[in-house]
Formats: sequence, structure tokens, C-alpha cells
Amino acid sequence: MKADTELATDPDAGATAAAEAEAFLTADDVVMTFGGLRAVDGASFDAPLGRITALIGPNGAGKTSLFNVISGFYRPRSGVVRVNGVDRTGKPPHVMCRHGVARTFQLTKALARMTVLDNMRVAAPRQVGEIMFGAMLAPWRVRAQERANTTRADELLERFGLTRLRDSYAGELSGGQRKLLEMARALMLRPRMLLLDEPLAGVNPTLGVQLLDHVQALRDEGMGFVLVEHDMDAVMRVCDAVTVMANGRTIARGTPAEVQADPVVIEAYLGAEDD
Amino acid sequence: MTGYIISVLVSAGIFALLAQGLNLHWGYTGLLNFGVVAFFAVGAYTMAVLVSVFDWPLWAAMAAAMLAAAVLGVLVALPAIRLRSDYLAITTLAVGEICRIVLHSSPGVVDLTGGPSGIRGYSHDFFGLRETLGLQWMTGLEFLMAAVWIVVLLVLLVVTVMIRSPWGRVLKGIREDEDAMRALGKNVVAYKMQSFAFGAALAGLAGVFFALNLSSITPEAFLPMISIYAWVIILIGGGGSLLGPVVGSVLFWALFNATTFIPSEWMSSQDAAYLRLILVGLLIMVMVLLRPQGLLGNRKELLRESRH
Repeated sequence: MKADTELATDPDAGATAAAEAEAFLTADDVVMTFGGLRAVDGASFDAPLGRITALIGPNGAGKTSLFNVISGFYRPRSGVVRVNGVDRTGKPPHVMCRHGVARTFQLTKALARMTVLDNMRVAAPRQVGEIMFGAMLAPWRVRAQERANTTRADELLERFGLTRLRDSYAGELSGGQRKLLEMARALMLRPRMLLLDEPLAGVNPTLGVQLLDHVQALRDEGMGFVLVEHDMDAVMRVCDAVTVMANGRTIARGTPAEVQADPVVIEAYLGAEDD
Repeated sequence: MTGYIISVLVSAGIFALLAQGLNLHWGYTGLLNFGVVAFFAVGAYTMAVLVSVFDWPLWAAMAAAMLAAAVLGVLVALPAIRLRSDYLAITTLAVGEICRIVLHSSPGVVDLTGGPSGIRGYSHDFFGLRETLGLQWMTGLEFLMAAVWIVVLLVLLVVTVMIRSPWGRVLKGIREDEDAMRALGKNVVAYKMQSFAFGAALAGLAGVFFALNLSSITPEAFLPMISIYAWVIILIGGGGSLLGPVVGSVLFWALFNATTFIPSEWMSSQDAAYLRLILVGLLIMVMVLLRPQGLLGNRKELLRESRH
């Protein structure tokens, strides 16, 4: 499939075994507070390329807050976030994007009053036409870029089975279709690492399986994923590594099998169900 | 009747420019601006002061008027644009009043603007153009009407190109969901500033023609009502549509000035002035009930939004 080769990440990725071993995305001792609440209280975490890393934990463990720190939506009180070995702590989301880290949202953010195609095209990075007056100063360059971005958008829509809905308003899509669109849209950015916040929430099982198939296929092409997810069966089935959080800290990490057998993890989950 | 049509078209052209600026803010970027009159006033006064006090040529004064309005736009947006949209609305409403009061009574400023007695003598250059162009057969008002509408069409062309470009697509994205756009790598604050400055410049341009239509301008010509008129026009024509502000403005002024046809035996002119406000109020109600997206707005788009 042509789209597959297109999805390969940056040429400088150097997806060698060595690079994979050294995590692309790391968070070290991150602390995030809201007033008196320490939502993230010294969590550490890393995610390599070519792997699906799950971030799990009971409700209120601080997963989403950590996620927002990594993606640049929150500025942590302390701790370090590194992308490809470089300190990017507290950089805003649009800067994190430039360095290859993209994200999706738990509650999908389809741009409702725009067509599916425009949802895709708006995501393309480095568009000359997005500079104010750009379309007037360099119309031919803008048109050429637009064509290229449309082609790429169409390829991704086809890959995700959304071609039929290309010209519909995104607001007309079902919840599951929106999740697919959001993921396809994030891929327009050509990220090296994609953070998925509860991709299966509110998605019917068939579509869920489809979605995870896409994730696995993209992983095999060299992309890295971080998954915050509550569906344990899915996590255990598709993830290569699992990090477990509780009370704002990372309490365990390992393969799905290791984590499942870890008494600390079991206690965290059972303990959390008590309150 | 001809007099009515020309006066409607002059006002409609001026307010089409103003409403197009607001359309850029609200219709395309989702920025709630309740103080477009501020930029309108700054445009009008910048042109008037530069021409009548400093003897600038009209074209340079016009450019400066747009620039001044855009700069004010940036200054207002700088602290306010990160706020939630309703706070932006309050801030802009206040800025509109501040502008008027500064023009009215701020020492130093008053030396240039004439304070409450206003400023005059800025329009000779403009109406002099009639002779230069050999258009003496036109009345001054006809000439102004033609000039305004040429500008309206030029602005429409520029805005259309910009809104249909990827730049405009980013603005619409911000209108739909700011966080989504941030996650897609867009510098949302920068785009909002650009939209705000550009819309403000259009309002400034509208202010220039507003001043040219009057032999003198005073701060009392720039009441908050002007901002409300722009909103009514957007409501009638439809926000987020390119022609909406133009069509809305023509209909608004056609209705607004229609009370001049009421014979004076029926109603004093003062009562008629009240009546037209009532008519406008009724029109707003009818629009909101029957066609909330405005005449040219996209009903489909509106329905999608309400489903959320």
C-alpha cells in the first residue's frame, strides 16, 4: 500500500536497534500541581519509537495530567521532558509538534463545521499558505502545497476507511468515526510519536479493533505510541510495554505479563476500588 | 426616492466594511468583539487629524488610519486574547468607551481632535478628486457612494482570497476548537492576533469613509450603538459567510432609513426615529427565530454546532 511507505517517519529517525533502545520520549520526575493537589507527584516514564507503550492506572492516578505535560498543554512544576534527548520541558504544544510529538484527545475534537477533508488538510505542517497574506504573495507555491496535502489527506482517509465521508462536515460523523478522523488527522503531522488519550473510549468494539490494527501497523512502520487506556484486555493484547501510575507516581513498568503479575500493581488497583 | 437609495447605499457600504471586520473576528475566528467602534473611531480620527492638522495627502492618511486601527487591535489583543471569549467581549466593550472618552476629553489628544467640538476640514482632498477624475457630473454623495462600494468590493476580494487560503482555514479551525488546533501544531495566539489586527484595520477603513460622509466628526458619533449595528448586520447577513456582511448591511440600512417615508402628519420625525429602532429590534427577533444562521449563513453548519 502506497500510504504505508508515506507514513514512514523522518529520514533522520535512524530507526536502528540502538535508537529504539534509547527512548525517544522521556519524562523524568515530573511534578504537576493544581492548587494544593499534586496530580502528578514525581512520575517518570519513557517511550521508544517502534513500540506501543501503555500508561495505565486507577482513576485519578494522574495519567491524563502527565499526558498533558508531555504534550505541552501543561507546564510542570518540576521535572524534565525530553524529546529525542533534548530538554523540551514546558514547551507549548505547537512546538512539541514540530519535534515530532503529536496527540489526540479523550473527547474527540473534530472541527465540526469544517469538512472531513479540511480537518485533514488544516493539520499539514509548514504550509506557506498559513502565513498571513501567504496565498497572495506566493499563490503558486501555496497551490502546489495544497495539492500535495490533499493527496496525502486522501491517502490517509482511504487507509482509515473515511473516503466516503471526505466532503461531509466533521460534525456529522459518529463518535467512532471521529476517533478515526482524529487519528488520521494527527498523522498528517507526520509525528514520530503519537500520544493517544483513551482511543477506545466510546468506540464500538468492531471499530476499536480496527483502530488498534492501525496503531499496530503504524508501530511496525517505526512510529512510537503512548496509550492511556482503561480497556485492560486491549492494553495487554497490543502494548509492548506498560507503565503503571497510582497517586501521581509511576509504581511499575515492564511487559504486560510482568506488570499483570506485579503485586504492587494488583494492590494499587484493588486499593483504588475501595475508595 | 433616489436620495433615499443613495443615502442607504453610502451607509450600507461603510457598515459593510465595518461588519466585514467583525465577521473576520467573530464569524471566522470566533472572537467576541463588542467594541468594533473603537477601531472605527481610531480610523476616522487618524485620517481626519492627519489631513486637517498635518496636511497629509488623503491616501497616506487612509493607510495610516488602517495601520493605527490595526496597532490598537494588537494592543487590545495582547492582554485580552488569551482570556475566555466572554472576557474578551467585556474588554472590547470597555475599549470602545475608553476611545470615545479619550477623544472627548483627554488633554493633549483634545488639542488635535478638538474634543467635544469635533474636527472638520479633512474632506476637501477627497471631494476634490472628483474634478481630478473628471467626474463633476456626480454629486459629492454619489461620488462617495461609488468610492465606498469600490472599496467594499476590493475588500471582499481580498478577504475571500484570504479566508479560502490555508490561513483562513486555520482561523476556522480555531473557531471550532482552539485546543485541537494547538495539538495540530498551530500557534493559536499568533493567529488570533493576526485576525484581530486585520479585522480592526477593516473597521478603521470603514471609519475613514464614515468621517468623509460627515462634514465634521465628534466623539459623540462613536457611541457603543455603532458596535451593536455591526452585530445586527452580522446577525441579518450571517456570520462566517463572505457576502453576509454586505447583504446584511444593505438590508439593515434600507430598513433603518425607511422611516423617512412616513408622512409627517402621521408621526413626528422624532417618533419615527424611535420607530426604526423598534423595527430593527423586531427584525432581530424574526431572524433569530426563523433563520438563526442569517440570510447567507450555512444552516447545516449551524445545526452541526448545536448538536454538541
